[in-house]
Amino acid sequence: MPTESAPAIRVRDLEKVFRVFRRRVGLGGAIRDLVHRRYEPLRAVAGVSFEVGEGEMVGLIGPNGAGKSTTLKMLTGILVPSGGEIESAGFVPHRQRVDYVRHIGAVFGQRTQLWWDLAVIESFHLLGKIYGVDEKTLAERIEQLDGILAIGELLHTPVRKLSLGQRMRCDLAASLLHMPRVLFLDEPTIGLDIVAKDGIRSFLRDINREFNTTAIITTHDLRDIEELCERILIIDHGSLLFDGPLDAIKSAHAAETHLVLDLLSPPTGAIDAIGGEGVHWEQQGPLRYRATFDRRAIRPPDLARAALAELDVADLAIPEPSIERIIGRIYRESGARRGGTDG
Amino acid sequence: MRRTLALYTGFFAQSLKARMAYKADFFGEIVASVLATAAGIVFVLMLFHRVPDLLGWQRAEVFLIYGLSLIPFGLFNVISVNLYEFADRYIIEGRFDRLLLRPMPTLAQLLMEKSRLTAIGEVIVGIVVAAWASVDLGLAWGVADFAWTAVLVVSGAVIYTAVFTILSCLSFFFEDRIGVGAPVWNLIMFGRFPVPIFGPWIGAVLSWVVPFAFVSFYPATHFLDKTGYRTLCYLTPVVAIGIAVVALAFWRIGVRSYRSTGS
Amino acid sequence: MSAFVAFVRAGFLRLLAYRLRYVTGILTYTIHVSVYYFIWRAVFAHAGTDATLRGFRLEEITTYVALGWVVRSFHFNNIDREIAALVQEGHITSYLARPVHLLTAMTGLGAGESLFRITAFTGPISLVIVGLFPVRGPEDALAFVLFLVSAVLSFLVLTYLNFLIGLVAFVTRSTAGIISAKNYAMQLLSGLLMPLAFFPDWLREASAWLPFRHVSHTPVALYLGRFDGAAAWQALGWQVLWTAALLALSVGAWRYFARRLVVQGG
Repeated sequence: MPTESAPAIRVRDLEKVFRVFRRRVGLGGAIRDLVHRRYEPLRAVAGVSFEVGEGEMVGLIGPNGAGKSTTLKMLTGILVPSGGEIESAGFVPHRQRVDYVRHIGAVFGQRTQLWWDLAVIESFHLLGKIYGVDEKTLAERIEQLDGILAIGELLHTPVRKLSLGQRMRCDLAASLLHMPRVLFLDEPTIGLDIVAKDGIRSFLRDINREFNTTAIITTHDLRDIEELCERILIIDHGSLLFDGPLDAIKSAHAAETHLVLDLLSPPTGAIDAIGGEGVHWEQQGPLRYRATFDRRAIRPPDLARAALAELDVADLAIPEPSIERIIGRIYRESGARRGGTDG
Repeated sequence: MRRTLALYTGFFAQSLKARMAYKADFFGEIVASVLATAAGIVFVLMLFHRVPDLLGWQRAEVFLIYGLSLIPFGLFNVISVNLYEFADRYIIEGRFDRLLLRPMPTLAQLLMEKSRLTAIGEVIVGIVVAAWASVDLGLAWGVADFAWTAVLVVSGAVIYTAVFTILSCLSFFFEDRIGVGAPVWNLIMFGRFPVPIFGPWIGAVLSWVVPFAFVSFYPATHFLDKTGYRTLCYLTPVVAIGIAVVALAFWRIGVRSYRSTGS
Repeated sequence: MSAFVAFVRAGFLRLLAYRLRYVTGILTYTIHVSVYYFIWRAVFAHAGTDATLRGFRLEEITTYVALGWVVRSFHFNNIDREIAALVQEGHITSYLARPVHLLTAMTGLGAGESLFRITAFTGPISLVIVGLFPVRGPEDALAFVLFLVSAVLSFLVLTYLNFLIGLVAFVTRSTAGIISAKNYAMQLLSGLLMPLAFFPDWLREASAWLPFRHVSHTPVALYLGRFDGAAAWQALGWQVLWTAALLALSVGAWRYFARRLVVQGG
């Protein structure tokens, strides 16, 4: 959904090719590898184009190894592209790295930006010095961030002693100390419990609303996308498969609802009849069955009630569908429309 | 520059604070670093106990070269910790990403982020040994001599740092470490003695390939009554700047090829 | 015995992963030997290579120093650091429950390491040294046999010394300083850098009562035939005595600390 004004991020035909070292086997191989290494090219990102408007929050999703992280690393200036162009916040990231990163914030879920052995507040002060934020402004920002993220009582704890959720809150705060115009978030809720996830999501919404911060978010958690983004980019095998509104994911999500049943005894009649048309049953174990249905057509409680009436049910669950399945469905439904290049 | 300095002070203070949390370790390591340097000095002392000179180099002359080499060596050791841990901590474990995300030159951040304060012990031993040798030689120190010593110390630290930065750059290209650092590290030993005793070949390597001879041997001849080293002596800062430029060029190439594959 | 063999195997195998390090290790050792070789050559520059200094010709000192590094390439290990780490991280308690004695395990690991080093490291280094430096052969066949026996004993002396130093971790939290102190004292006092004959008299006499000389000096001096007749057997006898004494001390010290561990808890 590119806006009228100049986009915050513009990516054109972005490419990243890695040379992958192929090891030989055995001791002899190791010695030969010392002398001559064999490489193979790997196209991690193969020609991706898109634009992100000022103040937009965009979800970047795709299976593992699809090229999401590589794309994000090129957008943040960590990796140098092999081809194509990037312009973000008015800079070419890899060429103007030092000036550029002053205007962006990045959170890579699994890796902290903070110093492991230092108390959080000391990390913040060092970052303040690195970004040239004066003491007074820094204190104000920390107070402000404490208001939303509730990190006040964590400030004097060394980073290594924080729980994952606490650390993530501190990392988010750290990435915002210099008021970046663009935020890059790689799996910002990974490994967190429901309450922590909710906290982080509402915080990101607030930040976006208040400061019109542009954000690109990669995640495996569809709820992140549903609650934060109006637009999604789907990437797989290094290419952009889809660029469009969130509705697509919502409908795919709804159409892929599962109900899993564990039975005490085998079903007496034909299980396929339960729930009627639109429910697809699969046997997944001796006594385990799974129904796939569209929750917009059939309400999950109705199906559950029908199943409980007909079958000897020990347990039932409605699991979240995997991102890979959702992507597959969106891909099929969009008729392999390639986003960006034709939009 | 002022910001960089303020930042370095910040990091340094943090390192100090972290180290002082385990005082026993801290002093244990100072003792270790003093002992490590003392062992070499005891060797030279014992050697001169039995022999009058080394190919015409007197004890005090050897000690002046030796002591003057320890001062830049100690300073280099204070800032260089991360250069050895670069492959493991920054490339393999992927910490280099975060250096790239901050608005500062990456090499400066790397050198700043961690300090080995205990190496100050080596600086002190170096000063003591050089001072003692200078008294032994009956040197009269003028302002120019102090200034030259400052040039020597800074150039020496730059040469050491540049050499090991170039070696660290290899980690950008080869993920498995075969430890090229160790042999080069041991070459430092040659530079603590009058280089001519090692013959022309090693002398050439130490002058023009891995220029450890410019850390203290050549510049120390400023104080000694020896002929034939005048030009090389005052070439020291030029060599330091030259190798620093080469190191920065290598570093730049390395950063451009950084793959961020760490986990 | 089978437990010992298992540890030997483990010690051997874990070094395989680092085999490439030995390529640069060869370079490192060559540099060490070069530094000392050239210093000694400078010492003899005036007198000429046939002169003797304190009973040594240049060729003998070169051999003395180079062979010291060759022996080190075989017997070196980091058991002190490993034990210290086990103590500091609390894993040492698992050795209380195991039927294997800690010393057996550590000696086994060290032996496996040495077995690996002798093929991957000592062999190539010996070739490089013979190629680069004017070293001499053993005095005679007997001297060579005594050298081999003494080199094996030097492994035990070093391993037990390292074992004892590693146990110091039970007493102090920081061991890095003590371990380095031992390493540097040993380099000097074992004769690795300089023949004991060049020591100041008081230090030479003191070193006769310390175990360090049996790490490097004894095997190398046997190789060079620096003992007359019975004196060679006597030197070897002293080394055996020190080996036994350090073994007894190691067993005793571990028993003491293990008991303390049981009484006081980890």
